[in-house]
Amino acid sequence: MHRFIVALALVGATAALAQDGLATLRRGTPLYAVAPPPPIPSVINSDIRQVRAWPEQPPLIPHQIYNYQIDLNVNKCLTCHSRVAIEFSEAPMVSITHLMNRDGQALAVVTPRRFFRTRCHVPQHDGQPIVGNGFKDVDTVIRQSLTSGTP
Amino acid sequence: MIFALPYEPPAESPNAEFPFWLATGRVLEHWHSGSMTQRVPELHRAVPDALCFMHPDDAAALTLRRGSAVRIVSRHGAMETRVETLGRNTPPRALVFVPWFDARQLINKVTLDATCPISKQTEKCAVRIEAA
Repeated sequence: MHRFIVALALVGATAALAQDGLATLRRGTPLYAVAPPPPIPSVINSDIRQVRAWPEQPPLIPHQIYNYQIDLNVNKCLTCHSRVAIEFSEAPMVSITHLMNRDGQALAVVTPRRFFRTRCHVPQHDGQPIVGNGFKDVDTVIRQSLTSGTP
Repeated sequence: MIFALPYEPPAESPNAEFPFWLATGRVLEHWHSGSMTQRVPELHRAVPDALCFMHPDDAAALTLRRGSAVRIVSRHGAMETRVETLGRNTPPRALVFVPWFDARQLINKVTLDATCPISKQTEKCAVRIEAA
């Protein structure tokens, strides 16, 4: 009987761990279970630029980029975002850092280090975060430190 | 430097029952699994879910299309995900790729417990794809 109670307690503890301790990103699905996969969300195609969480964050891509050719011959992104294209496309020009080599020397074209746009820039899918996030940007931190009086 | 070593066959190979190679791996946004990066809203929304990257002709042969729910079955286990034929991964025919970052879709339930005896790399495994 004792053994049975211990076993029962263990099973209960394991279930509790699986629920709230270990698998926080599984939305409550136990580790041994297979949940139906969520539908593929669509890419946000609003063309509205989004806030950057900190100044050096690579800007997010606010449009669809499927089938964009980015290789030795063509860089589809630059048909709108290059220095000469922005007059017609009204898109933001690639940052000046993309026209510099690693020593800060100015170049005529986008440096190979920054050529493959998706290495840093990503479009966003429509959907809710899995878990909450307590990130505060620098403005919020400064404002809070001024009101609370701590540096 | 080149080492001459005897040929070592893979732990398992595709056959009529399991016609696809399964390769698992990373996506740039969730490099060290999603345990940290899936909590960052921008990165989560960049790559929200694990998907089964597949050649469009393979998908068409199975009467699947982008977004179809599939069950990936191996000799060792199974999991469910969705087909992706677009995007940055363009596998050849007869190979599917599923990243392992997503805690909600555990591709490691499908994989085998074997590594290359020389390089210690994990082995690919043979799977079949069923409509879920």
